[in-house]
Amino acid sequence: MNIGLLLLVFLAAALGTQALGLALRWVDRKVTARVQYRVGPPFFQPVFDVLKLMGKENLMPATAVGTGFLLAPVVALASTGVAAAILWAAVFQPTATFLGDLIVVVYLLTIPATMTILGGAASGNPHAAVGASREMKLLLGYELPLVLAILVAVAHNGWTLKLGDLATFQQMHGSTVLSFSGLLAFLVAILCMHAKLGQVPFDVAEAECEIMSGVYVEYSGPSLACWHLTRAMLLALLPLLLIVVFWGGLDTSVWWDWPAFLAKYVLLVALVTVLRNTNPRLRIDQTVKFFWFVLTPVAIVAAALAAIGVSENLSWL
Amino acid sequence: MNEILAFLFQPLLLPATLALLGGAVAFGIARWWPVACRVLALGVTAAALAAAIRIAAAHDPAAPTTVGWTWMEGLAFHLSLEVELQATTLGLLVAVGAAAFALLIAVYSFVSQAGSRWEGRFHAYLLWTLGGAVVVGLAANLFVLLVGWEIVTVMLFLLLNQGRGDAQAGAAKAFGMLGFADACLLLAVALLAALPGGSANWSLALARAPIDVEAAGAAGYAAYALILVAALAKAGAIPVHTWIPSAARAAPTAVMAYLPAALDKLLGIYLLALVTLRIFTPSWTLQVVMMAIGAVTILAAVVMAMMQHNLKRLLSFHAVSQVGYMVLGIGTGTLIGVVGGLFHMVNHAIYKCNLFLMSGTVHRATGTDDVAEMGGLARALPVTFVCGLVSAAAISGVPPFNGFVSKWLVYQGTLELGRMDPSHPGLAIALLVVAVFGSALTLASFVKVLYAAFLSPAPKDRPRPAARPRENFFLAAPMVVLAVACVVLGLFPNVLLGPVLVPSVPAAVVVGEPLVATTEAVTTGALGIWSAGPATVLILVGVLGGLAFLWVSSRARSVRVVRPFLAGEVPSPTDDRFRVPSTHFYETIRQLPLLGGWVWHGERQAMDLYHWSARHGHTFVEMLRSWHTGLLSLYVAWCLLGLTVTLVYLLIHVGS
Repeated sequence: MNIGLLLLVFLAAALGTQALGLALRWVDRKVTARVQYRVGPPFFQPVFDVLKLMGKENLMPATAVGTGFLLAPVVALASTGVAAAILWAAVFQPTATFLGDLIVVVYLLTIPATMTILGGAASGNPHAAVGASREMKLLLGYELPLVLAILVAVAHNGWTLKLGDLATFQQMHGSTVLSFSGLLAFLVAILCMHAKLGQVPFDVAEAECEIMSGVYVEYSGPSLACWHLTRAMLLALLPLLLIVVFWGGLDTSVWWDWPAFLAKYVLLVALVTVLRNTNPRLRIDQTVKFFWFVLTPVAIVAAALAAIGVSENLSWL
Repeated sequence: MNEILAFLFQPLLLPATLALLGGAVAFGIARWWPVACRVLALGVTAAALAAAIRIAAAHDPAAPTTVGWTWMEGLAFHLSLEVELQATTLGLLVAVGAAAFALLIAVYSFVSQAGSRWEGRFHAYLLWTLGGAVVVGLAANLFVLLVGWEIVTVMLFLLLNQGRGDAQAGAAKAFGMLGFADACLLLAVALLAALPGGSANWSLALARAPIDVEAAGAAGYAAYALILVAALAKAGAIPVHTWIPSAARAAPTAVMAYLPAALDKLLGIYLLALVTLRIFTPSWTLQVVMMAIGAVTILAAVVMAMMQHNLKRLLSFHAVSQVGYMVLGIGTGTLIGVVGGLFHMVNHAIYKCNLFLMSGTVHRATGTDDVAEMGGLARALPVTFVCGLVSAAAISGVPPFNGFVSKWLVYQGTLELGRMDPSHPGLAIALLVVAVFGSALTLASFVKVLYAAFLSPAPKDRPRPAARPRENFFLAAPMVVLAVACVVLGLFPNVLLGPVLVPSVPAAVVVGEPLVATTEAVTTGALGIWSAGPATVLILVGVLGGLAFLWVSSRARSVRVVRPFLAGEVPSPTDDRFRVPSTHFYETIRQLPLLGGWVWHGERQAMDLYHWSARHGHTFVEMLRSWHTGLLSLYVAWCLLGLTVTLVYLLIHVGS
């Protein structure tokens, strides 16, 4: 593998995703503001926020384990960047197997959450410790239905984990969401994505008015800017992952798939905005119960239907 | 005599001979000169490792070295004992692994066992264990294997016995369960003779086709199941796992790190691989049973682990849970799954050994195994913290560490079940979900451990053995070696996959996609790809970029240290209210329906076969006891009755 090309793809994907994520952040804030009869921020406001944080002092509490506290946001940012490179490569070059497959991406996308937990725990602040334990429980909560939902798509699309092949299979045989089990799994996956983004009603790990931003309570300045960027990147990446796995990816060979892809993307991001603006925050026990005892059974039904569909060769099921 | 000496000191036997003789010498001087035992253990394990590596370097898979020696051949009656040894790729991996771990443990126990009452004997037993393990790895005959296997079991009992407090109970339980499992193995060896094409003196050196369990019928199933029990009990899979958590609390850390964490996994899974790949071809039913055992083991044990408050017990439940991945991988019968299971065996031995060593160092520093009372060690023990962090990430399957690669392979082996045979996609999905979710639960429980021991503030009301604990070279060096191994095997899995693991799986008995491992990437046919090296380079580039970002930011060149934000409260130096104990982390989950009940029953030994057999065995023994009245006439009557039954049976049998 050409190391120069590798670096180029990585940098382009990581920086591009950051820019896209900040733009989406603006969309999210603007729509929220309009819903609340406010004017909303100008387009570059999320960028200004990051720039402003960069200019601030970096503070560290006396109780913190310094290295871990400062490294956590950076590692989160870097691994999200690698996940971005793999995903964008799968969208634009589905035939090239680049770096990793679906499992790798799913695991790389859990690193930001893990780093949030470690960074929060390393700050030595009790609010952050409570936040960290909640973030971990939240991760346990959504991981189970998310994996089930993703496996439904894998079963539908020829039992491969290569992202490019998953997308190509759907472009030839129809999207996963066009089947009954696929649709169920997709709905489950949307809610899991929402939790992964840490948005209301699943923002228990931050809960500003309760534990004062929880895991992020001690972060400031450039370190906090790293977290902002990471979360913006996740906002851009998770809808992309869902589109690749469930909704056919991007067929670059036909012109009309470009606007379709864009519409799907905007729809998923808009859904995040709508969900977060219309729901109150759940408690952590309610959240875990919701994921394990409501969404997981739904995902199990979807998986069972998919299993029957695959073994009986009924592609609509 | 010379003949015997020449036999014992030939290269293939040298590691075992060295270890066994060294153990004997250490045992002899144990009481008078424990310090010499320490040095002896270090020297002998190093020599055994060198000897084992020498065999491995000279090993040619196409023409393996075999040595045989027939004992008592010339006697009038035809009783001969074949001592047969052979260097196989997988067996050598076990032998070299056993020696390497023994060396690391010898270094660690240089300090950790110093001054303990049984120090000299500890080193003697350590060496004998190594001797037994090497014999198992190089055995080319099930009888020889059994001898080595027994040595390891007995040594485990003796070593566990050296622990604190109620160590005897745990040791007895371990010996009881493993003794039962060994009896199963012995019975299976005898049963092999009854199989068509089988022999009691089952040689692994001959190139023969594996026995088809299906074709061999009930005897085949029985023999397979018996060996399976022996292998699973050694490795510690549910339902024959309970000796590990029971022994963990009181056993010396070095023993836990060497035997249940590393060596018993190597031996148990090695036997599982032998029986599944070389001796038998399991039927689909047996494969499903194995995979089910694997899945249940992963999930049940990790849920128990998450709720533990004793660090050693927590780690021991993980030592059970991780076996599930190995059994699941080998049970799939696909090339990728089997290789993944074997790779996981190696990886697990590395990181779990490291985690147990970490728990020992933490215990020395805090004087406790209770996670609620630890804390504040990250600054005092930075090396231990980093090694623990790496191992915890590896066991949780965080890329790019070694645990991720083997789990990733096991996942794909499971996925292939659905791919190859469209009739059981449900099975594939169910097993895969359990495996992935088990990994998330593992992460959760190690988050708790890392927070409890290293990141959380130290409790203020608890006296510590040392005011400020410090790293010790002998304790830290083995951990650094193991942590580096986690990283190296994670970045370059091809060093083990390519030359060792893939060739050691006979192509004829596995199915599925090919597995190609190069420095650049591991490719699993049409299933997936993972380029560990390049991806890590990118992550590192990203981290450097991020650090540069922090640095470039105008005022961030120095970080200002401030008071933590406690909403205006200023805690006094003795105030412990602002410390969130890690025991509170997963209380929410314990209170959930289903899971809470699971843990409740688990804590009350619902999964413990030993507990159940003890309970019902007692009733049985009482019944037998009531028959023993001491009256001679009664005993004579019993004898006569037995004789009559035997005679009648013989008459009928001969008559027909």
